[in-house]
Amino acid sequence: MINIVSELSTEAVLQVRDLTFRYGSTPVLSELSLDLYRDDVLLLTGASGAGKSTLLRVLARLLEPESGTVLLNGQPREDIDPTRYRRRVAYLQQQPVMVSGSVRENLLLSFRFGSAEPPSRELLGEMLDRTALSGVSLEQSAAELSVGQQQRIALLRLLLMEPEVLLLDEPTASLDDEAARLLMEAVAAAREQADRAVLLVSHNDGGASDVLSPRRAVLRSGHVEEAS
Amino acid sequence: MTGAMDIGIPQLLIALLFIVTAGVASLRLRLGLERDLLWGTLRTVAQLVLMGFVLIYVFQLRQWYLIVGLYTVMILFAAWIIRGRVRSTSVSYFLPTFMSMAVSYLVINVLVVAVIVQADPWYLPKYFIPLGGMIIGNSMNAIAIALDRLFSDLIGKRARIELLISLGATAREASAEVYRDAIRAGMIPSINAMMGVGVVFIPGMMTGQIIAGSDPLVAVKYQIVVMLMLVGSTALGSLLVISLVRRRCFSADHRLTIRERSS
Repeated sequence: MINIVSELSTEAVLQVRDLTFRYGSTPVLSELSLDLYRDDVLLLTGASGAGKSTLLRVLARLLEPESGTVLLNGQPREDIDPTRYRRRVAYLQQQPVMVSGSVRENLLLSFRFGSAEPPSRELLGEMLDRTALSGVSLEQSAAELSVGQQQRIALLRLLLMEPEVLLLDEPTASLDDEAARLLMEAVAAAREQADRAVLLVSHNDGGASDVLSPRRAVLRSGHVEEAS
Repeated sequence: MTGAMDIGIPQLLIALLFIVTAGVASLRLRLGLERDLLWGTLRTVAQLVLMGFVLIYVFQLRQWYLIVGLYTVMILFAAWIIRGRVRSTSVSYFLPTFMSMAVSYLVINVLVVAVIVQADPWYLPKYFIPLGGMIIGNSMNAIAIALDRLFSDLIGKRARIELLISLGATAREASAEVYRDAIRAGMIPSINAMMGVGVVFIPGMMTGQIIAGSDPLVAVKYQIVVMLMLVGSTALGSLLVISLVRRRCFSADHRLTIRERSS
């Protein structure tokens, strides 16, 4: 039995209750509820326009829901400083966005906005090696990389914030099979490394099944339903 | 010589030949500008004649609050005109634009008239209103350019701005580049004007003073003050407007809330 929503549990990292969102008068999410647990991967599929990306953007605090609650480790997210919340609940955009500059500058982007010490070059180099990016130099321009490589750099950039939750918005949509597999392996490693919770939305499997063994659910008519 | 030579009505009518020339060109080349040329000519004549009579009256005023009030109404109209030149979005910017223009232009105009020109009293309408009009006319364009750039970039660079917000940036940090680019875009025309003045063109104010019989060196000094004043008012006006309006494009929790409004 797949448990989309449990009784309020202290184990859940992210608890979403009765989330409702509209674009103008068009309802997109309708009293949606779900739980995400530590070391948990939930694959949420659904037709195009079902509201998958909207859900992730609401959870990433890039959109404000009309009603509903989101608890992070039991704490209402309104009680958490929004910039800190976004570091803990990290959001990977569908298309990787690189800022102009080197791979290193892109990896260290989040350190411009916090007080944390940036990691050493050695550590960054090891991260690249572990993510099948050993041929990529820290000093080369990020714009020169393939989309698949950029998406893995974007994932590493999020992981450097040490988030508790990863929100992945159709991350393999524009990748070929091999690049999709490499990205999913990087996600699997990130999950194992710190028992992270992962919410992956995709219009199809997105290459997740083989690597991540996720729980599955479907977003339909604004609700999350168990996958049949 | 005391004052410029008067122009008779028949001579004024001859000047209409310039418009007739433009109208014939429009007809022959099918530019479709005849109606605009006619309407523009009528408005130019009517507005300037009206302005002439108003100025005759205004120059006799000796109450500071009437002068400042008139100046504020001029700024209000300028803020209204800006609304038509900036792309339509979900953000309302009329009030902050008007407030920023009113504060910055008033400060600069008082500084120029009272401290630099040393007019007595400080609101002497013969100086206060024309110089103020130059500030408004020039800076209005700068603010319209800066606002349009701010809105275009916030909408066009949404993915990048939201990336930075997702990485823990505040609204101010995520929009720092857009903010700088908007103010720079507003200021560049007045800086370019400083580069070309006296070489590429003789500015209108200096031309007017020379025709009116002023010593060219006095006219030059006034023009220098005007050029510097315009850069200052453009910078201060753009800075205030963009700072206030940028805040309205984000929520308190640093979400980018601006949306393009379909017309």
